[in-house]
Amino acid sequence: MNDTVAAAGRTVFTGSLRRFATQTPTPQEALSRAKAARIPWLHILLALVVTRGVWLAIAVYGDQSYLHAMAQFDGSWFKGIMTRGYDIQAQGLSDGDAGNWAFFPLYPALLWLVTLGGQLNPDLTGVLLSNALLVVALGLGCRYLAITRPGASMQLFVWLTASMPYSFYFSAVYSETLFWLLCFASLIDWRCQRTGRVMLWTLLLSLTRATGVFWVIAMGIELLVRLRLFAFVELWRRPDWLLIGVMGPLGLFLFMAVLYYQTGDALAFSHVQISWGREMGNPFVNLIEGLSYWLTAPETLRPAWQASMALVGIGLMAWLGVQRRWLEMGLAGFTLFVPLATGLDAIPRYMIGMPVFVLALHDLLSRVPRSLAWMLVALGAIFNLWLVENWYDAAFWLV
Amino acid sequence: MTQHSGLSEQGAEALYAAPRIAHRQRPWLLLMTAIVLAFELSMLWLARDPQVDDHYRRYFIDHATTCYRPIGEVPVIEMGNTYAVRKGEVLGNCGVLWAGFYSPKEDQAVSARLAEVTLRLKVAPGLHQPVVVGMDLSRYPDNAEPLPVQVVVNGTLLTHWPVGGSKERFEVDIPERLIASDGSISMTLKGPPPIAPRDVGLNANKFPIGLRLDVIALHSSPRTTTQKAGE
Repeated sequence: MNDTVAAAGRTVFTGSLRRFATQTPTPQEALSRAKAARIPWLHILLALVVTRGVWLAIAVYGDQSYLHAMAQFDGSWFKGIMTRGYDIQAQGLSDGDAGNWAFFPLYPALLWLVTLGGQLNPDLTGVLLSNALLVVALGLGCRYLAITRPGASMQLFVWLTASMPYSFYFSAVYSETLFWLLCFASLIDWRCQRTGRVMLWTLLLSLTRATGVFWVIAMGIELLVRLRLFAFVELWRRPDWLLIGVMGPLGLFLFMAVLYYQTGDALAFSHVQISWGREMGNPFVNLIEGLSYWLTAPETLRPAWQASMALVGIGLMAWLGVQRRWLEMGLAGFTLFVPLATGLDAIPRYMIGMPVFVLALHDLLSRVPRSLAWMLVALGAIFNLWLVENWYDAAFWLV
Repeated sequence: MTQHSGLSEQGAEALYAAPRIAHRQRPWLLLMTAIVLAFELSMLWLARDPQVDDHYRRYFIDHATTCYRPIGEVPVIEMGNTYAVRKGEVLGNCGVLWAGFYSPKEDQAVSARLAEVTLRLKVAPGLHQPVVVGMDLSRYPDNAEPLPVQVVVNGTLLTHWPVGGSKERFEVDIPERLIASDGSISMTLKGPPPIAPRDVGLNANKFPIGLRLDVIALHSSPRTTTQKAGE
């Protein structure tokens, strides 16, 4: 009797979850949706001008240098790589124990290119570059929305991305916007099955950030969930998928070759993380430890806040899973849990650096009344202004 | 639909379209896959054996020490005072602890990650008297049996301490001749091999932990005190 009740309960539960499930479009359909998508370029430009204008006004009012603030912390590392390449020995930070090996080469290479080999002001050019990349990324993001979420509000997505908490990273001399652009490009081309392009984008992704490597693994997860064991048969039928599998992480391996040549340690990008106090451990232990600060020492806000953000990330990841967006869920999972295993620092930054979290948030906002959704976006934008002010004051917890 | 479309909600061809790879392209794609894979495997092979110096290996790879190189002043220890050894405290810098000690956080005890670790201590220059160095030491894990730890100062073996899991105060008398003219004392502790929490089933931490050091205290040698009283 109990078994019957439990089974019925399970059926009701899975049935109620099933209504959130989305259908994946066929490649032909995806292609035609992508072509038919009307990108709100005006909104994209307006959102960027308005938000950046307000941030700039805050800097001017507070007698701060906008450009200097946007090029601080990791921006300095990127500029260092642009001007003198990768370190041979550790020398950075106050203890002289950090090298620039943690920073992947594509963004600084692009920075070198747009500053004409370092001749132009890297702060100004870097900020312009990041924002220009964001314009393209938002355009691609809207196209991806049209493919996977037909009817979803692109304007909401654009304003959410441009103004949400932590969105100032998209204006900084950071690699976030480049990563967004490449991520959307590879997601679109994967849905359209333009596999040659996917190879290129994923290679560039793994040359941009370490988390880029996870794209291929997430692709594998999607294939396994959708096709089950026949995924392996399909792999044999489609050698282009196999090639994506090895081309995806190639960027990382090329970077490893450079590091081996420079330092003698191909894994220097990972080993150097200890200089920032990052050491591989159990992500769940780190999460619980961080959350426990709310009870034991709420005045120690940083770990408690970072852990709470990780919890939000887990919720968003689960939400993608409920919608059966397996590739996006896989990307969210790897982006969250691998850094979480090494500590709680910069968790919000990892999350905002991966567009699938913003897509999940957008999916949630799409389910509430329109006016409420816009109000929440506005509240997020106001909270972001407080973060921007802290960023100008070089608050280390925002790094 | 493919013959196995019943196994998934949408079949492989419906989801991903039929393969567009021409028959003659296939060997080339497989060849390219093999070449790229061979390169990646060879990089992994090279990554197994980094060509780096000892400092790099100890700090970046083995995580055997908190400090890459000695940085920070070695502070002068006052007689009669007790010093907590923690990151952020007077004796928690890379000048004192750099060789083998690991001090992860300000609220955690400093622990050795090697069997042999060295502390750099300093007394007031020109002290001209033997001193007693006391240390609150324990060995990982908490239920570890006491095992001898050699105490070597400036290359001279002075004593053995039976250090177990429970925190205990140990003291060593350092003769005046082993204290350098600038007051510095190089004190090496050679203990049993450290143990990783993973190896004793406590948690997943793979980095070994040896001696834990909580407190250092210095006071005058009783011999000196007696001698002075006699005078």
